[in-house]
Amino acid sequence: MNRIKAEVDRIVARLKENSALSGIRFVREYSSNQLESPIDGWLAAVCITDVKLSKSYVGGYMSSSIRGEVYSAGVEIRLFAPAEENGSGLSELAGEIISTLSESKNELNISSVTASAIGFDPNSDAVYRTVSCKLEFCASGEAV
Amino acid sequence: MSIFNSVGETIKRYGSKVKIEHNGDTVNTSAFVEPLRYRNRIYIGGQYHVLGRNRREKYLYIGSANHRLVENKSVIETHGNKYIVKRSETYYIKDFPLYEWAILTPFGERAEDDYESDQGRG
Repeated sequence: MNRIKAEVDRIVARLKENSALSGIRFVREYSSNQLESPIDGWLAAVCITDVKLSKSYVGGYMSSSIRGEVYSAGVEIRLFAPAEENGSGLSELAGEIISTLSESKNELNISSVTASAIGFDPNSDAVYRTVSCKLEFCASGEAV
Repeated sequence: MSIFNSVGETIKRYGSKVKIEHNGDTVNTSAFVEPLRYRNRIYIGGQYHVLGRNRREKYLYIGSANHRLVENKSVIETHGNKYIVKRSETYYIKDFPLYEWAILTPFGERAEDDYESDQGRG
């Protein structure tokens, strides 16, 4: 398991500790299975949107005694509402995800959290909201 | 034979065997299920969605008015394939239901939680 995947798994594991989010199924993006139709219960797709790697001093030049690779990764959690649900329940759960991530920022190496407006996806016939966060962490750091 | 009986009899005689599932109930009956033919019949392939593969085929359903369908709920199984009802209507002559019309798409099973086994990890 690579480091980025492990970081994303930690985020989902942390979200699952919140009982208010226990009804959500989390799936990895772009599965080869047929799209669930209709959406049966709360369903969240976990996506890694972009990854940047910069060989740098950890913390920039503020702490130049440690050299390593700093990763910056974008993660999206796209939460789909069941067919019979409305936008209000969706916003409530998205808000819960945002607050859980914000509370655990340091533990999960999260630098920012944002959420999109509610959208409608005609392929799944469901409304969704996307919570995005930015991760920044150091991999293979070494003292110099 | 009245038009009501003849339509019902045609569906019964020439329709395929279908199983309709809805809310845990199952009904075995006959109906016509056929691909909807687009212009030039270019309906190969599909597209990927963040939740999985999305086959975009659409199917036409004509069945008995005795078995009403519910959009996004009723699942039709025939010839080893499963479909979900996306739109359905009942056709009437005067106030008598004649047949059930529906547009179907391939049914996608409920997705498993990919992170279930991660619970409890530190």
